Amino acid sequence: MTMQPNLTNDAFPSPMNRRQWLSRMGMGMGGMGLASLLSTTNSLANTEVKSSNPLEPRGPHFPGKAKRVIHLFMNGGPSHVDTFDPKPELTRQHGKPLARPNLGTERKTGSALGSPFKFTKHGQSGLEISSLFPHVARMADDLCVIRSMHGDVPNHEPSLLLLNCGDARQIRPSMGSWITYGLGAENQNLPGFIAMCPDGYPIQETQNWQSAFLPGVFQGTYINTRHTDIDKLVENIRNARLPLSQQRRQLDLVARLNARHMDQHKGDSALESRIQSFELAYRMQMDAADAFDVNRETKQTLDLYGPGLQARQMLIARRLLERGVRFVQVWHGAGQPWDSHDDLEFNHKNLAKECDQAIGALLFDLKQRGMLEDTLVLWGGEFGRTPTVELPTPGANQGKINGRDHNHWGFTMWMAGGGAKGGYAHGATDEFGFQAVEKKVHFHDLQATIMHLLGFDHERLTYRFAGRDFRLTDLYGNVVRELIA
Amino acid sequence: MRLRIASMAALAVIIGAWNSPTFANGNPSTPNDPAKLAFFESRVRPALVEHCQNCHGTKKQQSSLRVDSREFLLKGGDSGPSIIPGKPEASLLVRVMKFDHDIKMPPKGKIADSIIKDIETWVRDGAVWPAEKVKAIGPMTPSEARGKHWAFLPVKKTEPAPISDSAFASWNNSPIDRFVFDAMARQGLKPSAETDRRTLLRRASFDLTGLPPTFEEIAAFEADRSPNAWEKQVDRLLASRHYGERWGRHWLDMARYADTKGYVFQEERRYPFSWTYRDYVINSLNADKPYDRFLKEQIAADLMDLGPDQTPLAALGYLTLGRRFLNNINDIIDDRIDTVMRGLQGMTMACARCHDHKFDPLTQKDYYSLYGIFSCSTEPGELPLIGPPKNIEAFKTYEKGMAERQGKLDAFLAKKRTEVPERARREAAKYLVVAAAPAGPGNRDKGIPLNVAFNAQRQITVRWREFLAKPGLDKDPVWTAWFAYSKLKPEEIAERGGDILCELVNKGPEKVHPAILDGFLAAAAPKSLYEVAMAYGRAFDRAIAAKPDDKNFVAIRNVLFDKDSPANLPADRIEQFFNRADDNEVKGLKASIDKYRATSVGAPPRAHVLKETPRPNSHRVFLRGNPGNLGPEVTRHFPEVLSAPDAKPFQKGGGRLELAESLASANNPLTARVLTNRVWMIHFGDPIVRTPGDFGVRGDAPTHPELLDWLAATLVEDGWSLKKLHKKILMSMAWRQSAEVPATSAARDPENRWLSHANRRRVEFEAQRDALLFASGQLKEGHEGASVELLVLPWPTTRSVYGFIDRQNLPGLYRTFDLASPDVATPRRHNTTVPQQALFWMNHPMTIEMTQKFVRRPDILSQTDPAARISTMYRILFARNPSPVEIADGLDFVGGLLSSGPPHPEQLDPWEQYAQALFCTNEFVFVD
Repeated sequence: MTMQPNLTNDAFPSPMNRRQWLSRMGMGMGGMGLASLLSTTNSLANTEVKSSNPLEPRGPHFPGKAKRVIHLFMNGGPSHVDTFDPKPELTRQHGKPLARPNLGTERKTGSALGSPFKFTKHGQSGLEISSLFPHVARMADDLCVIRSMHGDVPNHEPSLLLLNCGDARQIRPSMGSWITYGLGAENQNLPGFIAMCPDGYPIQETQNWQSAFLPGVFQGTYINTRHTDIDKLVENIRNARLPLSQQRRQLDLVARLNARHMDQHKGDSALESRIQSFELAYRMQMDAADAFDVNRETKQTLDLYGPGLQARQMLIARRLLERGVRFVQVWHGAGQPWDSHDDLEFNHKNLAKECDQAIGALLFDLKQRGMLEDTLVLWGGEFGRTPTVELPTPGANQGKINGRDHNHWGFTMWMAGGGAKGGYAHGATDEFGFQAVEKKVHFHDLQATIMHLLGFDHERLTYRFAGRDFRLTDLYGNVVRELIA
Repeated sequence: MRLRIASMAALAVIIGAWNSPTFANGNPSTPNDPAKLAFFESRVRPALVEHCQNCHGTKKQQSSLRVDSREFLLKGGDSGPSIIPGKPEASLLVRVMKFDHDIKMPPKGKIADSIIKDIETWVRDGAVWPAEKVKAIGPMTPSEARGKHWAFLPVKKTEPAPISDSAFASWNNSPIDRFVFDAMARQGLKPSAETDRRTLLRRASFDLTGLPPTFEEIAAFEADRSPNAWEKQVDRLLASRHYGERWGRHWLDMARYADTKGYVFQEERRYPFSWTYRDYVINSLNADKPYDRFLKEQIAADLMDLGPDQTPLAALGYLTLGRRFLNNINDIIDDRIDTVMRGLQGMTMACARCHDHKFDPLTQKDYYSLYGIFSCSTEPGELPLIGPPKNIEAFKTYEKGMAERQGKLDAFLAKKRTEVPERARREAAKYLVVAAAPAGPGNRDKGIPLNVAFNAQRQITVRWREFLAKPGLDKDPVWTAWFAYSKLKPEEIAERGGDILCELVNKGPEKVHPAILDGFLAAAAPKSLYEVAMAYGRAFDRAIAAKPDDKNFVAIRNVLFDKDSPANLPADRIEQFFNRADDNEVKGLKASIDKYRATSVGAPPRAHVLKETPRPNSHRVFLRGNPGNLGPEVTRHFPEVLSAPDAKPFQKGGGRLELAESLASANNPLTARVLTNRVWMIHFGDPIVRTPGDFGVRGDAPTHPELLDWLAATLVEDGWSLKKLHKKILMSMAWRQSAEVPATSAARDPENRWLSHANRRRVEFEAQRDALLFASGQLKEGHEGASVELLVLPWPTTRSVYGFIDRQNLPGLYRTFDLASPDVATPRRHNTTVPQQALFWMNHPMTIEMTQKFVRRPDILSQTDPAARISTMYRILFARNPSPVEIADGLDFVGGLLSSGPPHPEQLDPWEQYAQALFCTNEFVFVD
């Protein structure tokens, strides 16, 4: 991996010189964080990651179309043949045993299970979308539906890690961490990467947004969106025993004491940046409270997103993106809500009902605010589901014979905005939806494409750890040009 | 770890150039045949460049293959030689291009036939290639590197020259200072003066114990006019039990210590006795256990003669307490290899999991040699006791609780020992169908109609498959009918099911067992193998119901009940045959035992040990790290580059003890260097080798090589005593310099590589939290037993080193403060400054509560004069008196609040607000 020239260092050959330059520019103490480089070699395009201000905005390798990402994670694995991948032949063969490819999934499955949901064409593009997602369907012309996704194994844990971190088992930074590492954050008063999941963690827990060997600042900040109280949403965001005005006075005292201390130890950047961090923290308290308070939205907007938890999540997400958070991951719920091994029709209907309006509203809202252009929306689960019905396995399902098993051989995810090609369906699964057969897109290809949309060559955004230059896509991944507008 | 490699290719150049057999048969058709060369240049080379070299050239060598020289092609990659000159049909290169092989290249699609023809022609004509120098890429060989790279050369102790400049006479006493002075002088730098005594003691206290000094300690030191005043302080701090707590935590960073296994499905997540390892580390450091012994115990305590005290068995937690990767053994061993080799040797060995190391002389054989050593050790189900229970009453309760839970598990297993074989017999006929289908991927339970509720258990299927493969079984009257059908294709059974049955009936009872025939005759003639099996099922059912001595059924009963019957499942391994529901239940019962063990204060301490298997197997390389792709067999040995040229493979058992001895050897060039480098780093803020986890060729060279070697050699001479090493460093003038940056140093050496002053440092989270508790008078001395969650109410007041570490869901606050990742050996933590750290000091309820406790300390409360109260606070927090301005600041702040009316009962009172501000200052968390 070639190292890019480090412009900051070239411009200011030594920290001392930078400091002198800044003081000449009238930006003394607290004006800007200055400190040593992170102790480990990094390979960013145009700038360095400073330990004093690791979230400072940075430029990618080349101008990217997307500036931020929101990943709507339908964890558990939504069925593609019931949502975005119509399979009329499956419906015709409903109830019959299918001549099927020899593909292993997690459990035993039986004969064809036609989708109980009706597909119709939407928008000028005529994308076919099932009755589960009527609101999303209204935005069909913005969707870039990838019908030929495939992963490696039919199990939740490795698939979640593969999609989120590029490796199914080992400890690797998540996509949000890589992106925040690569781009920094547009707003220093909020975390750069936020993972929202109501009521607890998804399967594989906080590993889904881990920063692994990257500094902790690039890890996703977990938010339990079941709560509405800011104190419960963001750790330590408020002093329960001190109103803000009082705290301001207190921090002024801290600043005074620190300034006096600085006078005796002139020119120490580490002291400077810690002083700065208290000012940022103070502002973060207000900015976070503001960002998470959806009641500040107009009634019209609130109505657009509709009622319920998913609506609030999406609205918070939009507010965060608007305020410069780089990567927001929105999980449908704790555990694996979309994992409909039984009662697929009932469960999928309810799940889609919970989030469809909110997702449709999010797309619409981003668009009307001019944000969809440079905000990449990603929708999907860790895999899809089998076109055949799941058979009873004692101890594993309820044996109702009306659900679908996991299917990593072929499934659907979609993107919108951020430079993704709208009104477009990419690739295909076979006539029943067992496996991707045309223009197959692996998770690593998707990751490479997302990085490309953000302006990164996925092979060059690396971090040296334990003797190796690591990257999100491990050794794999090809940018899928056809997905790009 | 799947970087592509090169060293095999690099080797090829060397071998090829001399007398390798491949070279001997190569290039027979004289390299100067101009027509053939022209053909190569115009037709072959461009094709190789265009279609192959992106992935198999100088930049990438996928599957260890390069196709940009004849030698590389002859040598080939993971799948063997690519060309055999003169034999295109046997040449892999040609076959994969023709898609006439499992491997098909290029991956994008077959290239034009005309090009493939050219390449065939070229190979047939002897594969001529012009003489040219191909730059070998990749690392030195181990034997080359042993004599070249600084880190592999033997440690060499030299005596530094005395300092002639009399102004720095005090720097002449310690060899450390002479080395540092010399290096500095070469850069035109001069040392800084010794810092004042208060700063010195504060620095030393945090360095050695992780706690601030008291005002009284400072005063006593300042008043001590004896010539060895400083030495006494160093000795005092080194003797403190807090020393082990402080440096134990530094060691735990390297050991990627945690109290949990990472993500688990149904298992109990906690390691019940991880804390015995933590205590082992703390106690060993406090006892100044020689470092070689300390190391050896952590690798092989179970194989050493420990004497009556078995406590050191806990040392094996160094290996065993890593992440469990859902019990994937390859990843568990990889984690152990990385922890040992990067942590103790500064070698990034894990890079050699899939191929030889790309930069360092570490081979894949070295990696799998270590893998072989670890793979022949397992963790016993019952962990050894290493001490008596601490609390007899609690122990009694614990034993009772354990007996209860164990009883439930035993009862469940007893029940299942009968139930599971019974079920296997009832389902025997269905297993016949599944066992008759070819093994392999795809839908389970092949041959069973979809509407039949049946889930074959894999292990039972395997038993039936083996049974049916017994030679001569098709002559057994019980089985003639089965084989008559099962050898047919499905459509043949459908067509001729009835005819075959007639033939069977005609064979007579000697050939076909009557009860089996009855089974067939009870229904229509079978049309599928499943229906054949159902006929057997009817016979089996009657046999099961029959009396054991009923001679009509003896032969069939033998099939189901005999000692060797596939349905007679071994009682001692019954869990292997559990179905999913049984599995769930037994895991739940076991988890409840593990949880009870992990959370009971009465559980007597045990050690998470390893045990070597009695008959260690040889091990093979996993090509490209894939366990399904076996390469050559490897011996168990220490990495070649770190061994003597004539070193023999390990002889004793699985080799783990010998591994420990090699690591802990005074002759190992890395062990002492890696350790002293890290000790230096913690004392100075920066290490001598600035990549403390990478002493390989891509790591940084030492800034002070002679000093590093002097420290390493001295450590060994001092009997591997860490405390002597600390003392030598703290007694040096280099360490005692002021942290203020002289103007020349700032200009010439902004990174302070040449140590012309001390580095001001922010202390780590653990020390910040401990200092908070210490100041508020809450810090509890010592700790016994399991780790405690630090961030839950009521706030624990033990030192941070005793905090519970859940590696799966490490609290956000820990990541915020750059705590070491509990998943990888961390020689050096990140050091970031982010607002969330400030929020901890401003808003965390523990900070607030401790601030309140601080203000309520009797020595503070008793000061009724505000100025005196401020002074007391300063003495406790900063071990100094405040300046008049600082007092004025405080009075102003507190006075202002007091005068604005009575404080709100829900809010911090003025003194509490003031105290919290003091905790937030830089002075509190920085050490000069």
